[in-house]
Amino acid sequence: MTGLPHKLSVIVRSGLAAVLVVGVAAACTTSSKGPKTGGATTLRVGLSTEPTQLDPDQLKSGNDSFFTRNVFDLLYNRDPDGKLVPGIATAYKVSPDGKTYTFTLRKGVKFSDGTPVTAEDVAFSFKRYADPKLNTVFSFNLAALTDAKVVNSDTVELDFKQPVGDFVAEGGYASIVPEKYIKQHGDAYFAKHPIGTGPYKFVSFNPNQGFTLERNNNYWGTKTAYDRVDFKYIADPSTRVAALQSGQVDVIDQVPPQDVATLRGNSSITVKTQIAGDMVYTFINTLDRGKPWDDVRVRQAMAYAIDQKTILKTVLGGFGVLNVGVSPIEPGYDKVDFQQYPYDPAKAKELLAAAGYPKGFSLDFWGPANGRTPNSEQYIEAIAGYWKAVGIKANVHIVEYPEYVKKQGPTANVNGAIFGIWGGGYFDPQFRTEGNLKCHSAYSVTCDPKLDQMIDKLEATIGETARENVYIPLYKYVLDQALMIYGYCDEETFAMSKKVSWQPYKGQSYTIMTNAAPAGA
Amino acid sequence: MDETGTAQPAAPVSAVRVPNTRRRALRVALQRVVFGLLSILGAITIVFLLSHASGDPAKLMSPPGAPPGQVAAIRAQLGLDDPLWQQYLTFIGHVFTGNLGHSYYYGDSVTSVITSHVGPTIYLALVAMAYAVGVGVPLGLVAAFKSNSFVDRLLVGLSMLGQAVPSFWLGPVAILVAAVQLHWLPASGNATLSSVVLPAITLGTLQLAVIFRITRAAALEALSQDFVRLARAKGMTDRRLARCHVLPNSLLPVMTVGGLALASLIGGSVIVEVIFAWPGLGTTLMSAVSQRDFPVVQGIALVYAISFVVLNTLIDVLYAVADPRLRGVER
Repeated sequence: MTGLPHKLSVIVRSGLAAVLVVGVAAACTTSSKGPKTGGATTLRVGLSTEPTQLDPDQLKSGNDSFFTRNVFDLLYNRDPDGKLVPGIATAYKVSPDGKTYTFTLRKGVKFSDGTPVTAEDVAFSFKRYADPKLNTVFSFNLAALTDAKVVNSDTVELDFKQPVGDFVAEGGYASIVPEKYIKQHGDAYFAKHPIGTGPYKFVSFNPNQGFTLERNNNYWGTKTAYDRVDFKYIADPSTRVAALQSGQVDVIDQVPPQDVATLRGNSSITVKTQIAGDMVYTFINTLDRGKPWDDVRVRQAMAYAIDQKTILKTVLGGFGVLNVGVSPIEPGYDKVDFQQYPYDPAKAKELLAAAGYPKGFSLDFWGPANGRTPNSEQYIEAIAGYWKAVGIKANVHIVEYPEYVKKQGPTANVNGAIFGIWGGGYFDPQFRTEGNLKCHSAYSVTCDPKLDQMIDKLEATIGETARENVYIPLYKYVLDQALMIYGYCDEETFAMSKKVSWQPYKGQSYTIMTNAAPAGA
Repeated sequence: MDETGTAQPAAPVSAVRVPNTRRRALRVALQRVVFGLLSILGAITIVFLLSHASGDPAKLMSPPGAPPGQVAAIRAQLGLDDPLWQQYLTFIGHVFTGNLGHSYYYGDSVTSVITSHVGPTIYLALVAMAYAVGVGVPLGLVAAFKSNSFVDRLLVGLSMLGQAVPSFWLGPVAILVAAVQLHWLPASGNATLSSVVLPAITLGTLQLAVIFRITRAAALEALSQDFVRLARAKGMTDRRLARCHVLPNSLLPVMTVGGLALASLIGGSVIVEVIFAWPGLGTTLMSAVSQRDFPVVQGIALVYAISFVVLNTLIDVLYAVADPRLRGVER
C-alpha cells in the first residue's frame, strides 16, 4: 500500500472530528428566544408570504402590501373595523360632476426621516403611482387621473377624465412618498431605502427571509407600542404553526384550518379570525349562446342544487360569510334584503325539466389547485357533487393557478363554469363588479345590456348612500338572472401568543401591526 | 444510487502500467468537459422550454381587473412578446456572457438573487453531508465488523427505514418533537447556529443510510480479502485493521456515492428548505416557480446543473488520486 490512502483517511478522520465537534457545539447552543434586546420590545411575526420589493409605486403583487401598509399612509386609511378614517387628508370635496376632488391635508405630518410632508409631495405621489415607467401592476386603479395640482400649502386638487365614485372609499390608492428624497436619490435607491409617513419605518429587507421595521417616532398618529417588528417569511403552514408553538414567533397569519382546534386548545395562544375580503363564487359562461345554461331557469337550477352552507362548514371549516355579491366589508352589506338560492334539489330538478333538460346535461368546470385560496379543489368537487345529484354532470378540470388564470375572461370560451375569486383589499364593489360582469371585461363571461347600464350608473354615482342604492339592486338583478352563483367571502385566521394584543384589520389579509401591543400594557 | 456499478473491489495488487497515460488522461478530461457543458446546456434548455410553456407571468402578475392593455405592457416590459426562439437565443447568449437577466419580482439581477441565497444552501448541504459521512461511515464499519450480529441487523434495518422515510414527513416530525414539544431547537429560519441541526438531519438522513450501506458492503468485501484475513490471523486489532486496511479499501465506492450525495444534497434540498423556511436557493426556486419568475428559475436550474456536473467530474479526478491503479503510476 502507498501512503496516500492513509493520508486521505487522516484527512477524512480529522474532518469528521471537526464536524462532530461543530455539530455538538451547535446542538448545545440554546436558541436565543428572548424578544427583548436591551429593554427594547420586539414583535416577531411569521408570514405565509412576503413582499418582493418595497416601493409602493412599483408593486409587483398584493404581497408587497405586507410591507407598504405598515410604512406608508394613504389620503384616507381604514381602521381595524374597516371604517374609513382620515389619513394624510382630513377633509375632501367633490365637484358635482364627480371628476374633481379637492383634499385638505393634515398639518404637521412628517416623513420618518423628519422632513415635513408638503402638498407637492402629495401631488407628486399621485403622478408617480400612475407613472407608466414604474409600471406598478395596480396602475390601472388611477388610469382616469389627468392631473394632480397643488392649490396651496395644505390643499391638493386631483382631476379625472371621468367620475370615480369609488376613489375615496379605496383611500385614494396612492401611498404618500417624499418627492425630494426620490428625485435626489432615484427610484432604484428609494425601492431599497424607502421612507414613508406610516407608523413604522423601514430597517432591513432580506428576500426569502423577511423584513424588519422600527417605530416611526415622527408618526403623526398614536405611536406604536413595539419598538421593532421582525417579519419572518415561513412559507410552510405546519412550520409556521410550529414556530408559534415553540415561541420562535409571536404572531402568525394563515393558520391552516386543521390546526385551528389545536391552537385554540393551547392556553398560551389566541386565535383570531377576521373577514379578509376575498370573494369566492362560480361563473357561468353566458357568452356561450345556445347552451343549456343560456336559459335562466337552468342557471337558477344550478344555484338551487348547491348547499353552500354545508360546503362552507365542511370544506372551509366555517371560515367565511355567505353573500350575494355585496361583500361584508362593503358599505350597504347590512341593507341587502335578499339571500342566496336555498338548497332545494327538488326545485332544481323541476326547473331543469321545465327548461327541457329533465335528464340534465354535462358541462366543464375549471378551477385552480389548492394554494391560492383555501381548499378550492374540494370546493369545486363539492359543487360538482351537488350538481350530479340533480343530473348535471360537471367535468372538473383542476389546474395549477397560472393555467387557471388563462381560462378566465371572455376569450377563453370555457364550455360551462369557472371557479371565481377576487382578492380582498377593496371596500367598494365597483371595481370587482366591472371586472366580473361588464361586457368584454377581463374576467367577465357575461354580456347583459341592462346590467351594463347599471354598472355605468354606478361608476358615475357619488356618495356612499347613493352608491348603495345603485349596487344593491344591481346585485339583486344578478341574483335573479343567476348570472353568477355567489359563494362566500373568506375569513383569515391569525394566531398569536397571549403575550401579544393585536386586532387584525377587517378586509385586509395583511398583517398591519399598527395596533399591536404587549398584552396588559 | 447505483451500488453495484460503483462498488469495485480494490484488490491490493500492484498497479499495472498503462502506456500513454498522460495523453489518454487529457483526452478523457477534455471529453468530460465537453459532455459536462452539453449536459448543462440540455438541462437549461429543458427548463427554459418547460417554464415558458407553463403560464404567462404577465397575466399572473396582473391583479384581477387589470385591463388587457396593461397586461400587454407588462409582457413587453418583461421581453415576453418576442418569439420563443428569439427569447431562447437571447437567454443562451446572455448566459455565455455571464448575464442571467433580471428577476421579474425582486428588483435585482438574477446573479445577485443567486449569490445572496447560494450560501445557506451550500452550508446546509455541507453540514448534512458531514452528518451523513460522519455517522454513516463509522456505523458502516461497525456493522461490517459485527456482521450478522444483532447490532448489524438493527443498523441495516434502520438504514432501510432511513432510505424509505421521505423528508416531507421527517421534517415536520422533527419540528414537532425537537421544537414544539422539547423546545430544544428552533423550528425555522437560520437566525441561530443551532438552526441548521434539524434541516441538516432531515436532509442528510437518506444519504446517511446510503453511505452506511455502501460502507458496510465495501468493508465486508475488504474483510474477505486474504491479506486482511492474514492480518487478523496475525492478531491485528479490529481498530487498527479498520484504520489501515478496511477503511482505505472501502473509500472508493464511498467517495463515488458521497460525491453524488453532495450533488443531490445541494439540488435536493428544495423541500427541506421550504419546510424549515431555510433562506437558500430551494425556497427561492419554489417562489420563483409559483410566480413564474422565469429568469430566476432558469438561473437556479443552471446553478444546480453546474454543481452536478462539476461534482461528478471532481469525483472522477479524486478517483485517480485515491486509487493508485487508476493513476497508472506506482510511486
